[in-house]
Amino acid sequence: MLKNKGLRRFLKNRPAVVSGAFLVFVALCAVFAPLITRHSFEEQNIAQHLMGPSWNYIMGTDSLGRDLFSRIVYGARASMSVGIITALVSVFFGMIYGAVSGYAGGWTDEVMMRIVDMFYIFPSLLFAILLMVMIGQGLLGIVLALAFVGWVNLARLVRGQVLQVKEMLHIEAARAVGVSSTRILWRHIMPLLWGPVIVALTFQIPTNIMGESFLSFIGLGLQPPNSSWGTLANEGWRGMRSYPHLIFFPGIVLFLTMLSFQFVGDGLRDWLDPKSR
Amino acid sequence: MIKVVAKRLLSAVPTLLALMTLTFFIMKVVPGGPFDEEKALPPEIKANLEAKYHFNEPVWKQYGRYLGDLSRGDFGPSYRYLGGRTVNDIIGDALPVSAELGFYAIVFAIAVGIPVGVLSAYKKNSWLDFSAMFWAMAGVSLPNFLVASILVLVFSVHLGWLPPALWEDWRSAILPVITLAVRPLALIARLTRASMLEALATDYVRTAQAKGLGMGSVLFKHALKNALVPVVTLTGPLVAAVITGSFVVEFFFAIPGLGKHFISAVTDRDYPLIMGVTMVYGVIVIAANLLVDLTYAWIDPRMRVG
Repeated sequence: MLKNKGLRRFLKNRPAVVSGAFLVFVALCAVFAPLITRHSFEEQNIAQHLMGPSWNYIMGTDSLGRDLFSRIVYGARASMSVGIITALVSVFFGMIYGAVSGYAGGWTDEVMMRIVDMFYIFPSLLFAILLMVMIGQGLLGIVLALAFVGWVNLARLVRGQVLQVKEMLHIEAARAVGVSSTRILWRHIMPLLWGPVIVALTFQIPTNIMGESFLSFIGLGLQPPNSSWGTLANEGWRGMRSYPHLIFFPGIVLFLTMLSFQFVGDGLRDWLDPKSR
Repeated sequence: MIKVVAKRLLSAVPTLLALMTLTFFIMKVVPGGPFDEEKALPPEIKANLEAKYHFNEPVWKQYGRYLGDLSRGDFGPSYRYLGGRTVNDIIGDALPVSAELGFYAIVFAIAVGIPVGVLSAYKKNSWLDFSAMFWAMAGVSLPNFLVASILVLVFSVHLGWLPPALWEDWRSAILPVITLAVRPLALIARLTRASMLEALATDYVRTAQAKGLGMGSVLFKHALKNALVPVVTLTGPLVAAVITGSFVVEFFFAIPGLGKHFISAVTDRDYPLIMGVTMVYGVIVIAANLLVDLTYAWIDPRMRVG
């Protein structure tokens, strides 16, 4: 049997396992999009426009006669990769920021945390929108803006952890034998933080996927013909009364993905960071 | 106590100043000005416009001018409605609408979220608890536009009970308020449940039960009173959730509030309006956080050491 107690606990957590499987399925669909879709995401078939779900078009077609299922599968590529890339970038920077702040202590810490506090109290999507005014809309703007606003939570989390860890005996020993600060931080402190950081990452990815679809829905995000779940919902909502499938399918796929990330995140927290429960 | 208040108030000033400076310089580095239209303006007209709005001055001078105007409560002209409405006019019209929407949403979220959290904790691990917590989890994951479209389809299109958009009478407020309240409600219910569970395990609750008090009295008078203290900290995230949520909700229901103006200002590159609305949001957020700190100091005397 499995030796790892935490992993066993995770596998017993049924919602987390089912959710994890669903996320893997969505990721595989995104990767193998051309293989599983019957129509190209931009192929227009005006004769078949605004059709409800049928055998040929399992989620129906949009106002230009494009296959909604294909557009959602290809949209998963944009939504998922934007979510994952931005989360990785912001977690990386937040981690470094928090670690430096916590380890340095004193004045540096005070100033660095003041800056974090300022970012922390403002709604991050408001900042993201302001940044997009500066960088420009579209894919690049979204990625940079979301990556820039997500680091604050991580910085706080990592700083708190570093403050605890830095008093531990093995750190003191390392310092006593003359190991440099950078090396202590990377070799002796960071390895202890992977658990909480991975958990934070699983919560940051859905936050950013939601952020992307939020920005795309209000018309600031990806521009056509690129599709993400948010842009599909944006294209769908005006005709919603007569053709509800246009907003339902993207919305429900997004909802299930968000929910799955929550369950997986909770499961991972029990596994990797049991103290925080 | 007065000292704490004064200190917090003072510490809000640099935050606001920083926000103002940040938005000002973000807007200044943006490529393209408000007068770059698809049809190029004649150079003389453009020069005149730029002179009128002081674009020909050095940046630091424009910054000083903006600060001076702001300190007098003047947000300047809106580029979109040149010569007509000022940013002050727009904010004056839109802020009450958004404030009303946000206020109702928060009241609704509290009125439903706290009882749900209390009951879930009381009936821990029952089907009621499981379904409530599942919906609380779903509430955090539901995109606003999905909630809004389901509500509109059911209550406006299908049943025809409520108007599907606009902001006119109380009936038109119901759907947007519910949409906006979903996320705060879920957050409140989850946190209330967690902190009620802690409170229910304490000795003073056991004492209250042991001396034969009714369950209602134990739950609401003894346990809830203490369990609500951590819930107060949610005010910050709640205000943030309501502000960002209002962007989608006002866009979806065509409500002439601050969020809708903010989004169209961003699309139109109406910089003074963007800056004005951002400042209003900044003041609201800072005030909310200030209020949390003060409430805390009021509830918990240990926090009064400033």
